[in-house]
Amino acid sequence: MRYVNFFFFLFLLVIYLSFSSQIKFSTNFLEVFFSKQSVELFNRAKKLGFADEILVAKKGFEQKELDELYNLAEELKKIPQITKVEIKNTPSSELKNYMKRNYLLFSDFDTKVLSENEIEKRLTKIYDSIYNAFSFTPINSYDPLELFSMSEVKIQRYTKLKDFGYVLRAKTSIDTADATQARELYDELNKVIKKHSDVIAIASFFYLVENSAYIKNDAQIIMFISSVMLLGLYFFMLKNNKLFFNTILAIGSSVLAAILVSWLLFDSISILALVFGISITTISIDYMFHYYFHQNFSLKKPIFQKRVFLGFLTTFGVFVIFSFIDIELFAQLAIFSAISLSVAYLLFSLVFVYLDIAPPKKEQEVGENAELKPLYLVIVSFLMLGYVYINLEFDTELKNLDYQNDKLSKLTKKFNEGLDKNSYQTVLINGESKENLLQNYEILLLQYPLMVGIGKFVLSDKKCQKRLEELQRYDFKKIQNTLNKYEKKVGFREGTFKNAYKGIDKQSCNFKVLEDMKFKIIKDVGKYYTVAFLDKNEVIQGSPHVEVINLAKSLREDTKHMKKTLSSYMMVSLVFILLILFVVSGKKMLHPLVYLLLPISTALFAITIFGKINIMHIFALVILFAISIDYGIYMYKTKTINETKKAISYALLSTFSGFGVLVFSDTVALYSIGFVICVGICSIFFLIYANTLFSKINYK
Amino acid sequence: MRFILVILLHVSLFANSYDFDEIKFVSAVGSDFKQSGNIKILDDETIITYKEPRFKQIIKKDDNISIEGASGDIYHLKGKALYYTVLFIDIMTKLDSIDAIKTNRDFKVEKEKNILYLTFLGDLADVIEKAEVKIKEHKVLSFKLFMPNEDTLEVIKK
Repeated sequence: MRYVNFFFFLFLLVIYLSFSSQIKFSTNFLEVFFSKQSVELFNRAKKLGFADEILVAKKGFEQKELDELYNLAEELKKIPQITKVEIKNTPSSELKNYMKRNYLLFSDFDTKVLSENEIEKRLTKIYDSIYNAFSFTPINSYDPLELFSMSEVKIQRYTKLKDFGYVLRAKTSIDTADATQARELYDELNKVIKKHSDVIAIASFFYLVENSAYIKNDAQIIMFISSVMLLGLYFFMLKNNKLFFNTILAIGSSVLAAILVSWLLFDSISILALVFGISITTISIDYMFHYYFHQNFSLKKPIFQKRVFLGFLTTFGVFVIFSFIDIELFAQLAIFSAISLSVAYLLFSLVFVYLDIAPPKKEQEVGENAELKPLYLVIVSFLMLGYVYINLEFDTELKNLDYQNDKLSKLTKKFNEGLDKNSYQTVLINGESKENLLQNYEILLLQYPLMVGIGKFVLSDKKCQKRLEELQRYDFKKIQNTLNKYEKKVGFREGTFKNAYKGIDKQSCNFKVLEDMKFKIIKDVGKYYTVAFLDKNEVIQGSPHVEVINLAKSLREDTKHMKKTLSSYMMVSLVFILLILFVVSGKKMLHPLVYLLLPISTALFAITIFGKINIMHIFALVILFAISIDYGIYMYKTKTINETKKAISYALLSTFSGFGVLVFSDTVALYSIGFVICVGICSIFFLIYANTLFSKINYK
Repeated sequence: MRFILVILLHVSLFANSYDFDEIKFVSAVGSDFKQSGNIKILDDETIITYKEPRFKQIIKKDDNISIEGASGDIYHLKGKALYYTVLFIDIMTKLDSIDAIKTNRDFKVEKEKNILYLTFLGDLADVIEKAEVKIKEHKVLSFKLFMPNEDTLEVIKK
């Protein structure tokens, strides 16, 4: 039985390794933070080719710099993940032929009937312009009377980044929200770019790669500090190696069990849920400490301590409540934590008694806890909460949580301003069918005539048929005869306009979407979608067929929604905790409740004093919720005050080593968690040692 | 087709200047039009000054063209006229240098004795079919552009 803990760990490890190839860990950070709706919006934009563009610019506007950019493009084409590299903006011959073929359908048509006199006047004007011209401008012998016209859009042959140089555009097939795939592509791109001088590049996934690398480095330092602290705690303070190794094995078993159950429940386990789940599992150490300092491991029979059980039940209950949340990350995390805490609780209660763990030195003093009157603490807590209610602001900018990557921010600004990207907004248009989508586009075009999109190249059948009818009604035969009659008279060579307005009767509505058009139509979940560009100052009127693709705005909305949902679940959890506390302590509920109320209110107060609350603060408050109530239950009417205090102190030090050390992080997300946990830990320390601090006061 | 595109050739700008005769043949009227002038290629602009038959100065700066007549009135080109004028000034600049001709990406070059035969590629082929450049000892003497509608434009350096 002495090795049962080890064999149980080994058993779970074998199962894990047997299925490890099937267990998927997701590094898709997008799905973690965005709502399903936002992820769908983003994925559609991506399918339409407007999300994963990589821009590379070479400094200088001379031929040699352009040549180098061409060489760079060839090198980029060799990267397997790169699907397309473009330098020139000019259309392909296929697109030009397509446009020529359908020019009469796309252009504006002046349906005014022209008299013979008017036609002669127009021909004379063309003739005069030839004689007076200083520069060469060929005449349009196909439409000399300019019945058809199209608004001109200036397209530079090469994209130029203002005050820098030429730009190439590359596209990729990878899922750029996947950290691993993004890292691989980032490395390949850098290998190529580093060979060239004065080359800059930007893509949205660069942030994911660079920031996660920085955060990883930051996390490694934190983990080092954490490990040193835990080792110090176990080896130098407790001086019990056996307890340390068995606790590590028990935590390991709990994590493996949680991974295996999560694998059965989810398609893939978020790497963030895994990391935070492991950290939360370390909270279970407080059960172990409670048993250890109460010398329960010497009993050689399964342990049942009502306080520990109720503490576990409360924490478990809170995580079960959170498992129903509609935020994937928190649902996974809650289930993971509930399972790992259960396994850890069972191992500490049922298995550790058989491990021959040496008990600590006995210094038990029987007596009740002397504590500050809870009412005073409740009043202080509510005063702080009152201040919080008035002054607390919520930070909706999720990017503020990330590592502030100044280098990439400056590059993004340079590209956005240099390519005038800030001057337009992208909208997603939908329709039940292709025809319906194009009609919706054309309705929108009437409202926003400067809109650019697929409608420049493809017309709805309804609009096309209308144009065909207009063309059929117009007497082109008469125009041709008049041109033939007057061309020589005006001074042109005979036959100059013989091809004018020919083949108009053969026009038909036969459109297709070419890749070169840059705009696509996609089908997704039974609907058709396309994107279009609009001036950024245009306000899009509410329409079920149009939505603005603004990822920053979507993220802000999602963060707000996340805050609202988390707050609701915290309220439900609070009711559950109050219920448990009522069962435990009846009318004296305030005694254990202050262990929840004071840490939470102090943490919120401190957040308000130092800035705004963010989503990671809220996440940490949930953890604080789950752990602090355990201590309230342990401390309530304990007869073994010193052992209980000692157990809680060690548990708090463990929690500080696991979570609190995040306060040393430079990454705002991690710092925020560490900050809340540290303030919470300090409050709980204050509560458990309050009787010593205020020993001269008669509390009772 | 009045197609949407303003094509701008990439040119390596270098300070240069030469006098030239220009012969433009317009197929629609079956006539030649002759002019004489000077082209000055500077770092940030190109100036063509026609002296005969009438004074006219065409200045290309960035992607804009301004024209000044004998009266001193200045007007700016737009639309189709702007498109073609920018294009031909850029070509005139480019065809003045044999090195620029050989290293370009806009046309194929074949040499036969003292003539370079240029076949325009991509989008330029819609506007100019081909060109002939007469050279002598690494210097361009003249070039002639052939358009799809049988128009031609010949520039003879003096």
